[in-house]
Amino acid sequence: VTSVTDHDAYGAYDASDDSDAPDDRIPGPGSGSVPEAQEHELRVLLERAVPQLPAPAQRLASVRERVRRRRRRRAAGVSVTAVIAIAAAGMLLPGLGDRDGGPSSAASSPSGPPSGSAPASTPAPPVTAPPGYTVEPFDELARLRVVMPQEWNGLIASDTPRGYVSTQSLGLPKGGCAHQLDDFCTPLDRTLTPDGVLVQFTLVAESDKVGKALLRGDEGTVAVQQVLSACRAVGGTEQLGVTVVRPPGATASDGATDSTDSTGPGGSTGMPGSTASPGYSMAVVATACLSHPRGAQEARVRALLNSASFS
Amino acid sequence: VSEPGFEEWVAARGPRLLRVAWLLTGDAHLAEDLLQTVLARIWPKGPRISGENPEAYARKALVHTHASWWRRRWRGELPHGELPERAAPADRFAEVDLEQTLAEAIRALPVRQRAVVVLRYFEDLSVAETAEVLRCSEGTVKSQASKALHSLRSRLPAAVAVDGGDLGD
Repeated sequence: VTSVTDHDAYGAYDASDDSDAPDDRIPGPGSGSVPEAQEHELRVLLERAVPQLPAPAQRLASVRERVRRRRRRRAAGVSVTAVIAIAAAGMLLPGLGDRDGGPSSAASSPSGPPSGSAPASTPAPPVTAPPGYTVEPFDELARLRVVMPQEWNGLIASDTPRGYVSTQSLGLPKGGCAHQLDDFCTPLDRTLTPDGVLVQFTLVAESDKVGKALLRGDEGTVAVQQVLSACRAVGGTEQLGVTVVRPPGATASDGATDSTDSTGPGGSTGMPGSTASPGYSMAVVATACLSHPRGAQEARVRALLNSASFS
Repeated sequence: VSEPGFEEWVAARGPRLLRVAWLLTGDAHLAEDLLQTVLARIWPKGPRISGENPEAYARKALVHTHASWWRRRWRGELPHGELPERAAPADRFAEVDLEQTLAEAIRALPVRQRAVVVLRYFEDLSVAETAEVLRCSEGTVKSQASKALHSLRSRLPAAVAVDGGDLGD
């Protein structure tokens, strides 16, 4: 049994006054002083009240799986860093610098080719993925390309011009994704687990009513959005979004360009595999629903959204 | 912890570490999640920490991982003045009631005070050892312990008696 300091143990005493206080363990009630006795009582209470929780049978299997995931993430993390660094330099993805730093060139300069994009007669360079990543092709979405971690899943909703990627397994709901709450379909097999992500890519025409509703002024910049009810319903707690405008004049089928203006009236509704009608541009609205994301995961999603481009 | 002995070590020390995790989180599911997170970090480092006390390493990892969850605020905890459901104060529910009351009181503590309570009064670490784990001064440990005791005294009702005594006034 050790001695007790002169301080009132329940007072918020100055830490600097304790240099001479004993480095004590208090195994028993001691001499009966109030702080010492109460500390002892707390020890007894904790030992008595903290439950003896049963260990789940699959604990070690879960730990093994976490170890595997950590190793994959560590490898992917290096790749994400590389993607961000390369993308920031404008070497990997055409037009990315515009999206990170300000209004997209397509939005701000509708009559001319965006800075950093290919010349009018030159197809865009193919998008490549670093090790641990893969390029998810969405040919139905005007040949959208997204760089995502290899272990993520991709899905195309053929009844709508929408594509999905997620950390979890995907499956279309009965009735498809044509009529969904908030225009955000959640084709998940299960609700999002913590750190889970679902991203929806919707092809829209600039003149389309749905497109206008979806275009929230996020062109070119990944922005934090208000969490939609549909996202919240599957466990989402945060939402990010970006609108990727296809360079005006580019066709959806082969990446070639024309010289039409993107600001004209009317236009295509962006059906899968369609070719842009003359005078109208197309865009993909990307909406990411995240459940309690860790910092690394949010960075991964931002990199993924920034990687979206048209081939 | 070498890999061959990892399972045996988890089997032997897991229950105690899970109780530490429960005290830190105040929730059984979060506690298991916290413990698995820490075990997943320890496993690959087995050979590197074999010269240390693995339980001390795990304890330290539990505290710091929980603190990082707290900072990132993805832990999913919602602040409640009281738990939504409480057991009836009948004798047969006394243990459950005690557990819930303690969980409520512990969860009301700031994360650092919670860590001090766990290390000082559940793990019986000395002030110096607690300070080392928390990477703070011994004086800070004492002041945090004092505040935590004060807070617990006000939150744990007199009905929570321990060996005839209680933490109330």
